[in-house]
Amino acid sequence: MTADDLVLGLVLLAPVIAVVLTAVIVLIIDLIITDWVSRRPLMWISCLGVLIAAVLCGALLFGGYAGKTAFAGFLVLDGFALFFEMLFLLAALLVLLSATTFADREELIEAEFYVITLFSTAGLMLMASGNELMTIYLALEVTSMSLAFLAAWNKRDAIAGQGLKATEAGIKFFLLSAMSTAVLLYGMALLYGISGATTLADISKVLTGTPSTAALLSVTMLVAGFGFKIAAAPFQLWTPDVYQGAATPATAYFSVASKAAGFAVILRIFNGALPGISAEWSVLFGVLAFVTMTVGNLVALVQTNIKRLMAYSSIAHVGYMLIGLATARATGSSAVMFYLLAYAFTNLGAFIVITIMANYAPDDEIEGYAGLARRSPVLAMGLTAALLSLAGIPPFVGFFAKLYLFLAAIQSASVGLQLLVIWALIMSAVSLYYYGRVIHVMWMAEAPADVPIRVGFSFSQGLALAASVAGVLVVGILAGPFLNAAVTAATGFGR
Amino acid sequence: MSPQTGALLLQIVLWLPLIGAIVVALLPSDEYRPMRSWRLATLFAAVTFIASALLLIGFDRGAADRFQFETRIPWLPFGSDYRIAVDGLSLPLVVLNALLTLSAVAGSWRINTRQTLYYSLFLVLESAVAGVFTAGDLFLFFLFWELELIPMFLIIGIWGGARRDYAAFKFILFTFGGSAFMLVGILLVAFFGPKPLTFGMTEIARFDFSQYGRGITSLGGIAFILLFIGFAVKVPVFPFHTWLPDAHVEAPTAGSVMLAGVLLKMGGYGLLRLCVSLLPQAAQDWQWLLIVLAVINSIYGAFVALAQTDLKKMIANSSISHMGYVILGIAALTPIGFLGSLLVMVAHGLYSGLLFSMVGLVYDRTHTREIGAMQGLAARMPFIATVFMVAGLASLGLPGLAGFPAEFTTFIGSYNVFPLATILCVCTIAITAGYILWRLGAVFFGPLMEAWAPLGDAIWRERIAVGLLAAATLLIGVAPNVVADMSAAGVAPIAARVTR
Repeated sequence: MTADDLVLGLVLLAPVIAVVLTAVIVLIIDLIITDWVSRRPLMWISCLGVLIAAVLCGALLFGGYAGKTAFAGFLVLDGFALFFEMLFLLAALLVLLSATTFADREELIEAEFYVITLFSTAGLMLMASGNELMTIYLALEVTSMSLAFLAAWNKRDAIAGQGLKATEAGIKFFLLSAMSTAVLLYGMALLYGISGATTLADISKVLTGTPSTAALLSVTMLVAGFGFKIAAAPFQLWTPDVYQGAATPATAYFSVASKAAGFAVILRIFNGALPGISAEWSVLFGVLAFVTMTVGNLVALVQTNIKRLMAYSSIAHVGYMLIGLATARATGSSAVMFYLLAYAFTNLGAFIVITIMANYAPDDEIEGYAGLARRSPVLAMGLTAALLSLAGIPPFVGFFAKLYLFLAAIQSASVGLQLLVIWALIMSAVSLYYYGRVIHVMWMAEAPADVPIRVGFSFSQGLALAASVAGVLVVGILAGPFLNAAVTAATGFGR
Repeated sequence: MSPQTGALLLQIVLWLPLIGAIVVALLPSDEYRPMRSWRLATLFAAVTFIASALLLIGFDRGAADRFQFETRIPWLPFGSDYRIAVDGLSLPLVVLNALLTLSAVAGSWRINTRQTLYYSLFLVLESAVAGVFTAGDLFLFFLFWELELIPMFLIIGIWGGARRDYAAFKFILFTFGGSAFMLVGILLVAFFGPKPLTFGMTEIARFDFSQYGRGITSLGGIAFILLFIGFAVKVPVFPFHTWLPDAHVEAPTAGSVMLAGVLLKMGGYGLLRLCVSLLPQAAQDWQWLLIVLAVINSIYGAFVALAQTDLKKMIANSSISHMGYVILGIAALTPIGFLGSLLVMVAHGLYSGLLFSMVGLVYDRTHTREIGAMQGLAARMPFIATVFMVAGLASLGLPGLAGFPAEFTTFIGSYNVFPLATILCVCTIAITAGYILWRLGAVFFGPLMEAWAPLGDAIWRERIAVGLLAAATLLIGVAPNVVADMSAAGVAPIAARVTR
C-alpha cells in the first residue's frame, strides 16, 4: 500500500473519523470535568461533530471524490455510500437532539448515550461504504455492540413484577443479533468458498449462470441473517420487545438507522456481488415482502402500546421496502433508498413526539395520548403528520416514497410483483386503521381530568421535531433533487 | 378575461381556502371573541366564491371543450407536472364547491366547540376538492383526492353525532381502500400509456389502450375496473355504499352538506374524467356493469329512503338513489347522457346540500329528526318550511327547479341505449315524490304539536346561507344554460373518444 493510497483512504474516511473523534472528545471531557451541573453541553458538542461530518460528506461529494475506492478496493465512497452516510448522520442528529427527556432521567450516564450513539453511527457509515465482505462484517459488529448497549441504557425504568425491561431488551437484542451474525458469517464464508474472493466485484465475476447448491445455501443464509437485522418476518420476533423495552430515543435510532444500514448492505451485497443470480434471490425477497407486510400490519391492529405499535409498523414498512429489493432493478433500489429517507424523517418525527410523551403517557400506552390536540397542538399536529405519512397519505413524504416504490415494481412488468403491489396497497389501507386510532385518541378523545394539562418539551426536542416535520412536508412535494440523488446513487445496481 | 388573469384567478380559487385555513387555525380560540373565526372563515369562503363566479363569467364558452386558464409548472422527475386548468366539465363543479363551502361555513355559526379547528378544516376541504376538479395531471389528481380524507375524518369524528367514531372510521377506511385500487389503476395507465412516462391527462387520453387488446380482462379493462372501484366507493355505487348513510347521518350539518354536495361528485367526475375519458374502449366493455349498478343504485336507494323514519337518513339514502342517475347517464356513453349526468351532479349538489342544511335547521330547533315526532312546523317556521319544500321538489324533478332539466336530459340520453333500464330509473322518481311529499308534509303541515309552539324561524345568517343555494337551484331550473351549454361542450370530447 502506497502512502498516496493511505492518504486517499483517510480522506474518504474523513466523515467517519470526524464522528469517532467527536465521540472520543465527548468521552474525555466527561471524564475530566466531573463537577458539571448538567452534561447537556456534551449533547451540543456531539451534534456539532455530526454536523461537521455531514459537511465533510458534502465536501467529498462536490470535491470530486465520489466513486473513488481505497485500501485495495475494500472501501468505496460512491454516491450510494454518501447518500447513506448523510442519512445516518441525519438520524443521529435528530436522535441526539430529542434525547433530553431520557438524558435527564439517566443523568449520571448521559454522556455514554451520546458516545455510543456516535460510535454506532460511525459503524453504520462504515457499513455503507464497505465494498468487501470482511469490512462489512466488521462494521456490522461495531454497530451491533453499540446498539445492544443503547437498548440497555434505560436502566431505571422497571415494569412492576417484570424487572428491568431495558436490560431485558439489551440482552435480547445482543443474543439475537449475535445469532443472526453467525448465520450471516456462515453465508459469507460459503460465498468465499465458492468464489475464492471477498471483494464484491470479484465474487460477481464468479457467480453467473445456474447457481450451485452452495450458492443457493449461501444466499439463503445471507437473506436470513439480514432478515434479522432489518426485522423481516419470520425473523421479526425480537422487535416488539426490544422496541418497547429500550429507551425511546434508542428505539427511534434502531427503527431508522440500523434498519437503513441493513438495507444499505443488502443492496450493496446483492446488487454488487450476486447480480448473476438475481432471479433466485428476487423471488426470496418477494415472498419475504408478502409475509412481512402481512404480519406487520395485521398484528399492529391489536396493539395498545404505542412503542409496540411502532415496532409492528416498522415491520410493515420493511415489507413494503422488500418489494423494491425484489425488483432487482436500479429503479427498485433507488426507490428503496428514497423510501428509507422518507421513513427516516417520518419515523423519527413520530418517535420524537413519543419520546416527549414518555413523561406524560404511562408505559407508552395509547390511551395516555387522549386529548393531546388540546394539551399540546404542536405535538398532536407533528405526530398526526408523521402517522399520516406512514400510512401513505399525500401530501406527506411517505406517500411519494410508496408511490416510487410501487411504480418501480409495476414497471418491472412481472405479474407477481404487480399483485404484490395491490396487496401492499390493501395493507396500506389496513394500516390507516391503526394509525388512525392514535390520531383519533389525540383529536377526539377527552383527556382524563387528573393528567397535566400542558405537555412541555425542551428547545432541542422542539428543534428536532420541527426539522423532521419539515422533512415530512417538503421532501415529498419537492422530491426532485432527493430522488435524483437516489437514482444516481443506484445506477449500476441491478439489471 | 385574459388567460393570465384567469389562470391567476383559478390559482386563487384553489389555494386561497388553504391560506385561509392556516390563518384561521392560528387564531386564538373563540372564548373571548365569539364568532371571530366564523367571520374570518366566511370571508375567505366568500372571496373564493366570488373569484370562482368571475371565472364562470370570464370563461370562454365557445371553447369549453378545451382546458382554459392553464398553469403548468414542471414538478416531479418522472413526467408529473403541476397542471391546473378547467374546462366545461370541471368549471361547474369548481363553482359548486365554492358555493357549497360558503353556504356550509356561513351556516355553521352554532358550532360552539373548537371553532378555529372546525373552520380551518372546512377550508382545507375546499382546497382539496377544488384541486380534484382542476388537476390536469393524474398524480396531482390523486394527491388532492387523498388530501380531502383527513379533514372530513376529523369533521365527522369531532363534531359528529353519537356514533361518530364508527362513522368516521368507516368513511376513511372505505375511501382509502378504494383509492388504493385507484392508485394501481393510475400507475397502470401511466406506465403502459404514452412514452416517455407521463401523468398528463391530455397525453394519456390521446393514447389508444386497445392496442393491448380488448375485453374486460385486457390491460384497459383491468385498469378501468381498478379506477372504477376507487370512484364507486366515493359516488357511492352499490355494494360500496354502506359508509354513506353512517357518515352522512353522523356528520355535523355542514359536513353532510359538503359530503352530499361535493364529495360525492368527486366520484362521478372521476368516472367521467378518468375512467371513460382515458379508457373509452374499456368503458364500452364494462357498460353492462355500469348499467346494472345504476339501476340497482337508484331503485335500492329510493326504497331504503322510503322506509326511513329519520329525516336525515331519508335524505342520505335519497342521495344514493340520485347518484344512480349519474351512473345511468355515464353508462349510456352518449353525449346527452354525459351532459345529463353532469347536470344531475350539479343539481344534486345544490338541492341535497339544501336538504341537509334544512334538516340541520330543523334539528337545531327541535333536537329530533324523527318524522313521527314533528307535525305542523310550518306554522312556526315558514321560511324553513318553504325552502325545505323547494329543495324537496327540486329533488323529485319539478320543472322550474334544478332537478328537472338534469334528470330529463339524463333519461333522454340513456333511453335510446337502454330503454328498460331507463324506465326502471324513471319509476324511482315516483318513489322519490312519494317519500319527499309524504314525509315533508307530515313534518310541516297539519296541526302544530304543542311541544313545538315556542320555536322560531331561521335567523338572517341561516337565511343567507341557505338562500344562496335556493337561488342557485332556481336559477339552474329556469336557465339551465348557465351551465348546460358549457357542460355539453365539456363532455363532447369524451363522447367523441367513446364513439371513435
